Amino acid sequence: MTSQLNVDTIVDKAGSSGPSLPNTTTIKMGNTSTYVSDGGATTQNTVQSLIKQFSTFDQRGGFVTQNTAGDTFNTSTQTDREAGTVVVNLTNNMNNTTYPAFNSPHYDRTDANRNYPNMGAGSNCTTSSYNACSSQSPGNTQDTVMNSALAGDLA
Amino acid sequence: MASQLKVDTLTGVTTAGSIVVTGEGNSTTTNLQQGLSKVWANLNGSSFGLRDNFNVTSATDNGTGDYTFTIATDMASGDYSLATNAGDNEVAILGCVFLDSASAPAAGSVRIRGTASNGSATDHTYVMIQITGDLA
Repeated sequence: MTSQLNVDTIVDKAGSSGPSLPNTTTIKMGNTSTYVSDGGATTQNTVQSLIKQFSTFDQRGGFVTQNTAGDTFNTSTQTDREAGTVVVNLTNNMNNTTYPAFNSPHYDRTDANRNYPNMGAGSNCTTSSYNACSSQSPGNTQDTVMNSALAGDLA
Repeated sequence: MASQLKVDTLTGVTTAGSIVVTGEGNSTTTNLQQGLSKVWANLNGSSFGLRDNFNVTSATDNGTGDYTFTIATDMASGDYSLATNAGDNEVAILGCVFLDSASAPAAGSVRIRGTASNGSATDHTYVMIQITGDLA
């Protein structure tokens, strides 16, 4: 039997609304649950709509500290593989290697340092890690501040 | 004590398509529906074919580096935010995919272009898109 919950606000069991919310905001949602769309015309799978990972990594320094992570979610570690390439390791693995990944390198207002995002070789995408790359031209890379994120299916 | 609520569909009471959730920092709230990704896809632009997707009906090969994604459940308008990325097994190809500015994004489809670093049209091995915004 299908069920439907009509609710305006979701908090955890001990929660209350307002600015002084408890720090136990753990809510579990089944992976087949749906939500009513923004426009109200349809429903869509909630879990498949969630971003599964995001991270920031400062390769060159000046944004956070050189080779230091900024804000992250579902990211165990990030490593400086080479100029313009950051290896992102996941805390919870993806279900397969066909996920879409996105990154955005910083631009320092110097034309010669205009970086374009790229994922590099597909063989570098595994269920537990991927490479976030940037390049100015083939073979021409430099350290950058890399922002990256994953959609797709978790294991 | 932990609790578990089992439900198939979440619907707002005041507005069906608007549910509020508590932020990670516990000091604010945000809209659940607007915080979700509405479309994502991973396309092989070289041999051409969708590897994986969510809310995509099909992808069309319009020519070298020229692809149209057809959205299964339409967006509310074409004013959504589109993220793209490319990947290749050949370092010499390094390049990007961009929104095709000559084809305005539509509620039911979006057309993108793949280029090499020198600007020439290129079929990338990995073509990735993601859309956030309002569903219909």
